[in-house]
Amino acid sequence: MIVKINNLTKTYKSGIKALNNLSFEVRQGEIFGLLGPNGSGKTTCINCILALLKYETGSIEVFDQPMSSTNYDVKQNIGVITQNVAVFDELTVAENIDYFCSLYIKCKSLRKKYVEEAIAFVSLEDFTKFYPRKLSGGLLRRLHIACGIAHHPKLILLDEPTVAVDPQSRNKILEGIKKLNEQGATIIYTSHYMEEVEQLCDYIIILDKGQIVAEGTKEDLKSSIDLGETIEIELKEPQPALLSDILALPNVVSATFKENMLIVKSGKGKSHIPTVLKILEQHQCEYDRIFSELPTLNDVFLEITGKQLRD
Amino acid sequence: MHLYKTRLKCLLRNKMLVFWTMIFPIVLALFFRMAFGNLKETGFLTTIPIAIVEGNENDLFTVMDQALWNEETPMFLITKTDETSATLLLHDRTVSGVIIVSPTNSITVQFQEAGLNETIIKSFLDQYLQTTSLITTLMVESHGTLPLNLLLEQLSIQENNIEPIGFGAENPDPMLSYFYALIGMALVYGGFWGSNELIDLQANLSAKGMRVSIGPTKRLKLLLTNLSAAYTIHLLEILLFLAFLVFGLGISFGSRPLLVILLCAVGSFTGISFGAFTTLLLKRASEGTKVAVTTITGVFGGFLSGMMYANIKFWIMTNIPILTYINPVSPIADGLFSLYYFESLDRFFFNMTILLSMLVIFIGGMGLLFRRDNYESI
Repeated sequence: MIVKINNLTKTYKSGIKALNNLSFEVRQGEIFGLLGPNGSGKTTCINCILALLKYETGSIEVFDQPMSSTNYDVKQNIGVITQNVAVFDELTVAENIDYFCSLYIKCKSLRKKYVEEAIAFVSLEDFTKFYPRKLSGGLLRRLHIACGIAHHPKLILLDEPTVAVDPQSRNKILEGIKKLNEQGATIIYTSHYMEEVEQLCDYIIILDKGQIVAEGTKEDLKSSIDLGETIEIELKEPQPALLSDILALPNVVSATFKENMLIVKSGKGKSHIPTVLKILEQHQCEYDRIFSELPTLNDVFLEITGKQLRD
Repeated sequence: MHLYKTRLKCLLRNKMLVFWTMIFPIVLALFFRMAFGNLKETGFLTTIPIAIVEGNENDLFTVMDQALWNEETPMFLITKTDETSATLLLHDRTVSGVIIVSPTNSITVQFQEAGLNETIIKSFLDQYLQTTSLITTLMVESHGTLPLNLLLEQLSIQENNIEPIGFGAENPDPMLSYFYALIGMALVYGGFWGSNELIDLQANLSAKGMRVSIGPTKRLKLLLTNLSAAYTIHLLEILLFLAFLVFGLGISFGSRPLLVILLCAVGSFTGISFGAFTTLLLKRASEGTKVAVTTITGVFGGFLSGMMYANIKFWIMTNIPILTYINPVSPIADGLFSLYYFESLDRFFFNMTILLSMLVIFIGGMGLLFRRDNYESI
């Protein structure tokens, strides 16, 4: 087991219980997702794993050793990408990566090799002599990531690494994370972006108020709820009379209008698109576009907690 | 070594800090030179009027009467009178001090206010009493067998006592107080470096600190590396500043440059430790507040040490002496002052003791606050 957390409880002085009896395990080679809304305890959990925060009860083991701030052997093999970009404005791209790498790697020639690899990994070859203030937000994030992974860690913790990043850079970052995992690193990835977690993670826990509200693979999680499909149809003119007919269909959970959009949610089973379209034709209701969406992790979260992930 | 070199690079490229810790004091020094440049010519070498009341015959009168600022200017203009008249003269501010020699030969001095003149009189008397006491003790203990001439020669006192006792300054200059306090301020501004280094190290103070803290390099090693780099840069800046003052503006520091450098070296480390300590102490405060603490301590401390008005320093020493012990600029400015003006090193060592005490407190406090390596919250 790469990380093993048992009954972890952390309460801040303000009285907020950030983690409440949290337990989970991260297996080798896994991309482990910690999903939850802002304030659910994801970052607190990461900081506890890193032995930065004190906690009241529970235990944390990393690489089968109790984690502490002085367990340097364990720390040697951990890489961290914090939520806030942490680089030195006075050092160039290459110097920044070299500095952070030198905290882990003493051998100059090996470090040089690692730094070059990290630069190539985040595609910053053309910017090695740039100072961070000259980089765009996306490039800066990539530098931040390079600083965290240059020393070839076996365990990488990424705390919301794509916050405030443009879509192009976000894709690059997600691709990079997959690549790191393919190269053998175990990843713990926190985010409140369910799409990213769905796309990346092998195993997901959903946190709310410091507790696990659901866990499993994304397939497990989606199959754990009743929702099957969400159909959205753009109408020329909404007709309230439609709703009663649609709701009368078997297995339909809800039917509502959102401006010109008809939203129909149904339980597991066959798709309702043909039957709903038939009703529209019966009412001589014209429509433009049709969208069909299978359940997302947001639906899972919504069903369990009654609120949106991005509330 | 690699970490140290990278920190040096990092600090040297921090233009803002280089400005405040080196360029700003240089600009202020230039300003002071322009503003106070002609002070010396406007009468610092004024003879100090004093009154002496002799209850018994004593050679103090002769010594003071023959003390000279230079070949042309006597140090003291002495009025021999009785105690009542002397008190009146003092109240009228006709004289700066009244020296009373009692029938038992004990010497006391009275002042109406605190100022440079009063400090000079007091220092002169202290040195005189110390020297005469030493001679008396040696003569008594040797039962008069010691050759008096040789003894006086060794004590740097001429037989006829006509040289000023204890004043090392060949060329007293009122402008110096301003520059010495300015150096004190520049040394306390080392606090900016100290603060910067701690912010970059502490997980609860910055994201960079967090990243550094989770690495496998021991925190004490990182602290020593960072502070060494800050010390190197700041000491270098101060030496350049001193060189600029000496060679560029012609400011004199007396004849003991090594002690001046020693004082600055200790002052620099005290300044850095002060910044590091206050940064840890005010962990919840914004970066602006932390900067303000060092700025205010430097500027206000400098003011209290005579950076804008030289006599304030003497007023503080007389009326609120506690400030001398808690203002880090004070022992630096007064230490430089004493090195220039006094032959004796007593006052210099007294200031060094205060400075070193502050250093111990700052380092001790820093150690206590820094050793914590996990936090209640970040």
